[in-house]
Amino acid sequence: MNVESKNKKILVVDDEPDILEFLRIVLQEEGYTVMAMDKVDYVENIYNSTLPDLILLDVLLSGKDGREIVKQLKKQEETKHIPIIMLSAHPSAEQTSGEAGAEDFIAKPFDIDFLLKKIKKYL
Amino acid sequence: MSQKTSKDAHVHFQPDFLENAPQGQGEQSTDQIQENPYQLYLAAIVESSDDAILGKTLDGIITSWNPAAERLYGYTAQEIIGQPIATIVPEELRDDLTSIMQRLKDGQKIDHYETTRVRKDGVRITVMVTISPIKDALGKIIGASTIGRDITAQRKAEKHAQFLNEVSKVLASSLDYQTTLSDLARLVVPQFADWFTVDLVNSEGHLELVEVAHKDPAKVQWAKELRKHYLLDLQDPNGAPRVIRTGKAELYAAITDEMLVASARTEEELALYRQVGVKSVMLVPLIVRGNVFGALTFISIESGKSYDPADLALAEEISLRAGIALDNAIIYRQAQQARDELHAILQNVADGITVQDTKGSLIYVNDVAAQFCGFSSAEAMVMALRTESLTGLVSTFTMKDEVGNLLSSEQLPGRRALAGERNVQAIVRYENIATGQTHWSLVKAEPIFDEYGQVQLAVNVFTDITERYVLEQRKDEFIRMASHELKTPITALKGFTNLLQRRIARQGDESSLSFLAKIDVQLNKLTKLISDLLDVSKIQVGKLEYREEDFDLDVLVQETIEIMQGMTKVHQLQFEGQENIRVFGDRDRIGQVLINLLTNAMKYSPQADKVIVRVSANQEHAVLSVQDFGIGIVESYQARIFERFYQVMEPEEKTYPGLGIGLFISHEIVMRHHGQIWLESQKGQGSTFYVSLPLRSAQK
Repeated sequence: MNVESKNKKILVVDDEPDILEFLRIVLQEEGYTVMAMDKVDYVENIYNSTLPDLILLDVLLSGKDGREIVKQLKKQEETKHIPIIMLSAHPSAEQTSGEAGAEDFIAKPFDIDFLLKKIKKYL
Repeated sequence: MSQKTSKDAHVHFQPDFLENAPQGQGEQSTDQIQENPYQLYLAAIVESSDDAILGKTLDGIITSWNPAAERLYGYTAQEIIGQPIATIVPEELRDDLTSIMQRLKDGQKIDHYETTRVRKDGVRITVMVTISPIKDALGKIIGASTIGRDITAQRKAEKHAQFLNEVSKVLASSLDYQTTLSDLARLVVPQFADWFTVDLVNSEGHLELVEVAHKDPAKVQWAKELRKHYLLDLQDPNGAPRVIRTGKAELYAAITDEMLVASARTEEELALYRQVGVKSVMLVPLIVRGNVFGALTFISIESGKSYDPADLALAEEISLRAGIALDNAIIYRQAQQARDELHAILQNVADGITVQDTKGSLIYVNDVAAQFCGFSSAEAMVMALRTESLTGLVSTFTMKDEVGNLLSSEQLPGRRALAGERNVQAIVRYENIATGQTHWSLVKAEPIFDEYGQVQLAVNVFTDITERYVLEQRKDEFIRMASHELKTPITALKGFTNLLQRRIARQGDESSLSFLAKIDVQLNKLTKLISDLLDVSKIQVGKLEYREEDFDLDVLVQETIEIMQGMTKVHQLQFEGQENIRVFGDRDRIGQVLINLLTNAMKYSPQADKVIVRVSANQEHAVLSVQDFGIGIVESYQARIFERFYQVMEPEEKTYPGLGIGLFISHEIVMRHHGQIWLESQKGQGSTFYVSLPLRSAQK
């Protein structure tokens, strides 16, 4: 377990429960505090709770475009410093997520090691 | 002047300026002549003159007659001296003669008077005469001298030239076959013939009477009926058929009864011929470019005109010109017919067709093309083009290429053809600015050159492929969605696999770990397949993404080999080559090309134990090659191997699975990098695939 990752909070949002589950387990094993969400309602009110240190965000969430959430978060003073890594099975989403303000992008499917490397880059 | 007729009286001459000359040359003695040498000279001149010179009394009795007069009028001096001058004057001109004699009595001279005379043989001739009064020593007018010159040939030639001039004008005035012939016939009759027919050999090889003219309009119908009754056959021995067969003109100056008997096929026909009373006939072939395609028949009846060789020459000249005019009319008719046929075809094809001149102006448009531009018909568009320029019309469209890049006017197929490019083919997306409607057209353009190789026109053919395109787009959209949907479960599968790998690694269960590694490899293969399918559909709509950067090709190659080596135990992947080969492009995409080539190399060389990858560079290009020692590719398949979904259909190759898209994607990626991809292969000898990419340093 990584000592540096202690006390770091990661918010994971994906509408596929199984993806959410393995991400939660792996990240917890790595010592992160994980908040896993399959809905976006919470994200929109994120400034009311304890702010995460990093957000993993799926691009296409049922009923909501992740890129819109990124734009919103990047607009808010309280949340705009939080690094956001977007995930998508659409490789073309890489460009649009960058345009929306996300710090990074990972194409689905991905290697866990690759994901962990990216996260470490921002935490 | 003596009026005595004597044997030597052919030099009776007494011009009025020789006032002192004794009268009656015949009575002159040698001494007298010697005394007056003028008379000798004069006599010699008169004797040898080419002009007919004659003397006459005021009563019109001929008193002298030189040899030229004999030649001109046909009478000898002996015959004519003592006869009235009226002998050689046509009956209708006798009144004129009386007035001429009166003017002479008044002492007037008649200078260069053109008139008609009748020869002894009855032939009329045109003469130019000068008639002068002759005075005696006391100045009394006692007679007249007439100097006459035959200008028949001259007048005839002038008349012929004038007539030919009229013929030429008439022939040039129309390009219509029938009009040309009718106009010609109207001119020939009555000026040159009393009855005129034109026979042409028709397409069935039969002789067809196409024009008849008769001096008496009432007889035109009769003449036509006559021909219907006595049909001419091309095999007939005489007349127009023979002229058409021989190609030689025929002149019958005088038609004799024997001729009628010889040419009549029946008694009835002979009776008819006799009744018609044909005097003289000319038959002339109509020849164009060496082919006889008809005959002109000139017939003289009532006028009593007898055709001579000069007339025949004129008739041949008329025929020559008529032939050329008819040929032009035929060619014009054929051209018009061809144009009409072409127009009918062009109007009925499903494709839009336009023709542009070098300025880009539309000179032809069919209905489909006009309707595409928003007009009800080609005519409506042509009308609109009279008031508005083509650019004005075309600006209602935004023209883009297949993948949506705006096309400049130079890039439009028609312009490219006008610039001399042949076989131009492009898919053009037309977006109507006003309606927002989008059409996809497959546009083919072809330049038309003149004899000097200069582009004169460009022909554009537009095939509307909108429906096909929309379907294709829908299919591509489906593939995009499908690939997304497929990748989501793979993400979960791969995630849990990785999760298990991490846990089992901690427990140290090597054998379970190796199973999980295999699952991971297979998941990666599955992911690549899905990505390839998606790439293909993206290439179709030009949406394959590229991220360009500088990178070292040799480093990329070595990294890729390392990854690929981890996936095979059969083949040794060998690297040969230089270092520091810097190129500019999408590193991942170039990596994808190498992976495709390596995957193929290993797949098609199951018996071999190595694959060689080489990297080299020259001044301008980096060259990457992948050589295998496998089954090879028959040459006939090599050209098509980079096509989408293409797979070599040899029995042996069929046993190798695959989608047939790897090389297509690789080709597309290399093309987008302005590079080239090719192969060298022989059946059973293995294959070497080459990729060349522009070097960073060689780029602008």
